[in-house]
Amino acid sequence: MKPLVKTVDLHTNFYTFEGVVRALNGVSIVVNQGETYALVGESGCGKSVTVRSMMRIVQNPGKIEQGKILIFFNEADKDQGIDILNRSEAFMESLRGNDISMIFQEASASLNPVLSIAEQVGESFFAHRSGEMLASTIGTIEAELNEGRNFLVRFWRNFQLTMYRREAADLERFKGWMVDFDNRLYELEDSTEGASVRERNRIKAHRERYNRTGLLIRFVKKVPFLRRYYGRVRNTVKHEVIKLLTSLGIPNPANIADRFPHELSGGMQQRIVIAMALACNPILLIADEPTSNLDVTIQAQIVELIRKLKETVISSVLYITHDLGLVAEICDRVTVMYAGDTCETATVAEIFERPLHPYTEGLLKAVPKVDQEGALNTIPGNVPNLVHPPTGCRFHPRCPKAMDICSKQKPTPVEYSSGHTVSCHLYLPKENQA
Amino acid sequence: MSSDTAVEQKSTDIIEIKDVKKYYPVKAGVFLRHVADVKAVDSVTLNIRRGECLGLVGESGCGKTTLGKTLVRLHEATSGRIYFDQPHERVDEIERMLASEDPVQVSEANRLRKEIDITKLSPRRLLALRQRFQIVFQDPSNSLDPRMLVKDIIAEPLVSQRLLGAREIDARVNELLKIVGLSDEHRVRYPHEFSGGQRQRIAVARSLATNPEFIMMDEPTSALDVSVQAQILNLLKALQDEFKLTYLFVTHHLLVVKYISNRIAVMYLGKMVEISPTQDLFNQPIHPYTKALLSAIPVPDPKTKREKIILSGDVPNPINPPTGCRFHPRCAFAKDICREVEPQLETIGDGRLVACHRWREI
Repeated sequence: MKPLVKTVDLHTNFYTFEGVVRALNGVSIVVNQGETYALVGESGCGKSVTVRSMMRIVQNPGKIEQGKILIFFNEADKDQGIDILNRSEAFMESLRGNDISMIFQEASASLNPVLSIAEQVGESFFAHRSGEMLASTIGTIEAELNEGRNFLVRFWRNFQLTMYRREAADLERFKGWMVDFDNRLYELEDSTEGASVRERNRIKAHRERYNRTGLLIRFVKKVPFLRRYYGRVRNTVKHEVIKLLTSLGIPNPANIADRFPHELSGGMQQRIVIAMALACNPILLIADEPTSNLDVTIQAQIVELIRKLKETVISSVLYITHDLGLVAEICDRVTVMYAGDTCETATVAEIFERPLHPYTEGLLKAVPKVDQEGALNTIPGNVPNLVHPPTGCRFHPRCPKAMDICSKQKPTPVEYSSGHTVSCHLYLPKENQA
Repeated sequence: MSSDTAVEQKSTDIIEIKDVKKYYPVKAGVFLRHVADVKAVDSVTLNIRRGECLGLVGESGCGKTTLGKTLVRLHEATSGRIYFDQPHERVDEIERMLASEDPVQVSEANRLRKEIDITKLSPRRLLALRQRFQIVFQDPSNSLDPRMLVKDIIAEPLVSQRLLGAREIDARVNELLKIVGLSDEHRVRYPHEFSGGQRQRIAVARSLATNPEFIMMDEPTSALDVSVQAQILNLLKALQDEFKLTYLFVTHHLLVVKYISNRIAVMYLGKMVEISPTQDLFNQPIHPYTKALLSAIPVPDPKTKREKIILSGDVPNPINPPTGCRFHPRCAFAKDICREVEPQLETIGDGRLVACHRWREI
């Protein structure tokens, strides 16, 4: 199996009034190509922070302190990988929503209430595939060019065509510039010298100014009536959106595209969010609790949809969930997290059959089963406050098998059997414990 | 034991719900004319037996919480009768009088209802009766007043009922804290200082304060984590055994309801579709909706690969529910009769009830 995304010893902290919340404490996970991977854990264990770090969208006051995030998307960097923590924001922008996209937890909260569905889903087309959109619009206008009898109609179409061609040319030209800016910014990334800081700010301003369009286009877009030329490309995008919605099996897509989020049911909203994530055929889809607010029957529909898409469109899916049932049904490999630590990584069959870490064991026993008999096992205590996390292994205050060493030293991950890694002192060789 | 004989003398049903409807009016236009009704609960008849835990399951928007809240009169029912702890004969008598043509008998029945029907009780009688039924809400961070100390929160029902003096209340609060697994040191803290599981323990302690017989649990574990959920479920089970409580357990999590309930009632779009003992329901679901619901549960065991029934579409709008059987647009077995005639709950033996025209054939 080739890796697709890899995090190495990731530390993310949040600087709050109460103190430093050490949300991630050296998280190392690997998502392979073509697999469905799950991050499991209770709320506050750092699952969401991990994937937010992977997309570099940790909110303020959070900060990625240490570690590496390697991606292996292109042929060129198959072996080495690119460390995205060192790359500029422009690079991340080209990545987010295009190669890595994310389904956020609460569909109703991640949709904009004042934009129609077509506008929201279309945003990623504008952001990442505007070249294609322009080309196809130019194609349709060229086909219609000689149809118009009226002089005005012909003039208007010619004007549209000129503008779109200009825009496409600008886009091509500025793309090169963007790369140059990007490389310069990357060089100047960490310098604190006055001259290079000024240089960096200048480049950033340029980047902002030349983002996508040139002066002429921007001027025309301000002129009443003339700016209406842009409607054609909006129509193209809307057609694409409707095509996408149809491919997701959403009934009556043309109608849905014109609606607003509050008019849709929870399951439908979730499907729209999935459509947004899939607009640019991502390589990796991150699903942050995609079904936790939905009913079981709707959950089954959504999970089935993602499974089908995984077979056809997406390479890998990274699920974040606390529902072990869901993990058992759809995932290949799973990592269990607790309070910012990774406890155990294994294939799904392995983890349900032979849970090694005491936390995994407790978690599996705490879920009501179909053939549940007798009382449920519980894990005593509560999830710790991460401002003052327990020393050593963070699970030791709740662990039934805790030893002396557990409170003193953080266990290193050890490969128990092939593909089954566990971070627990129980499985470390004896000489290390001494 | 004396308490056992006392139970025998009382009727087996602690709550009898007869034909309860709860409609929310939809108003529109300049004069806010009444244009339609959201039929949240539509003609539900249900008995809750003494000492059992009845699970009420269904998708969101099916009216399960509305029914539960109507039951403890946090919502006013649009119509219907709810009898709390009345002898079966008396309930039958009133029902018979209400059904009769004679206006004298009907008005007599309505007079009687003001004394025993929860939906019609006067405020004073209701307050007195509230000692005996309580509610635990879904999200403990919203149901506890952030400005009150834990001891005041737990003492609140006792204070409003004027049951005990201040010193007795203090002792009772300590006792309750101990019962739910907290300690004296938690008395003078505020709810925000607790984790979700502990907050739910406080909410449970509050509901136990007046020694109720019946507690309605409105998704008490859905806001909690897996390991904490197990703690709360075990606590609720232990409390039920200890205090001989009756629960109405409203939830959408089927494995939780399987763990805690004796009987399960399945709701769909304001209607009961199946009522059955838990084991029978899971072994052999009868209604097609129940079948789909059960097959959709993700099972935490990678070895069992079951056939899934994936329902198409969403729950229809309760303003304008489908005619006939409300499930027919999503049902794989629907026939003409399902589109036209509304199925009634019928008894099919072993204490099971189902509302489906074609249950024999499926």
